[in-house]
Amino acid sequence: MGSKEETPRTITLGESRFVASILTLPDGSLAANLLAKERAGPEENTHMADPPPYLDFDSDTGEDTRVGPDRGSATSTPRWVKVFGIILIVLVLLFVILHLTDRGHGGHTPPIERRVQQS
Amino acid sequence: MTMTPRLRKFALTMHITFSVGWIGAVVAYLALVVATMATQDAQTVRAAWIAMGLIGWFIIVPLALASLLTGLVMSLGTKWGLFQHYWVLFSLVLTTFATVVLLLHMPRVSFFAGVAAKTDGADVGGLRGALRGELLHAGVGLLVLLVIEVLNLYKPRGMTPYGWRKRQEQRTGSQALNAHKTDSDGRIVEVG
Repeated sequence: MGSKEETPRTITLGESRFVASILTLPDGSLAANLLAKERAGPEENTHMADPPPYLDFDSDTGEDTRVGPDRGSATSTPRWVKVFGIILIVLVLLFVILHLTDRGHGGHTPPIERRVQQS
Repeated sequence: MTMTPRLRKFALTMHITFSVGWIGAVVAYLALVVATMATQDAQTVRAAWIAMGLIGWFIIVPLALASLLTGLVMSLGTKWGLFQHYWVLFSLVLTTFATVVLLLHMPRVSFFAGVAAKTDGADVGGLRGALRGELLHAGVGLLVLLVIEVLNLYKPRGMTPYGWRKRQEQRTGSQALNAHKTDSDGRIVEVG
């Protein structure tokens, strides 16, 4: 009650150097490890960094293909697949109907081409 | 069979080049159609039909076939597979559909290009009337190609039943491999 809760904070570069210098083992291994980590700091401390602004074309390798619905729980067809399927069927039907009506009944030459040929 | 990283990059470069080139060529074709519909000049109409015939046979058709071929190579040469993910399957079906429609439509373009080359007079009513069909074909074609492009870039989630079976088989295979360990002498022993 009444005591302030200390919030954890990231130690600064100078503080980490100090800790490394006072926690040196007889063989000096700990200090070396800490200093090595400190040097690699900018690269390693990027867990909250924004993703790169460029397109990730490496995803085309197919190494990470976790794109399944719910990643392994359900095998049901996603909604977008159903919508795309319906659109595709409509597109194919439209093409077939237009193609048939354009050709007329049994003729091999479309009407517009017959007109151009006659003129 | 999975491609090496260098080969995969090369195949991907080719695939992007052919696919984007196909879209660009259709846009150029569409520009010719729209410009010809807007003009009253008979010579422009005839010239546009001849140009559309050339663009169709020498640019759009080769790019469409190359795009389809490199797409097959990309899917079969990576772990995506051809029938394992819905976005790959839709890309294949739409590309095949667009290519078939293109090949069925091109004789008509050749016919009008031939008529345009032979016609001397100012009566180009028939050639002008046929442009509406070109607008529909090229417009819908461009829409289909853009849908394929979006599918390829976003890769929406969704595995086919075949893809699930394949993944289960791989998991079973890797579990069977993990069930073996080597003893102190380096010999493989079965555990569990």
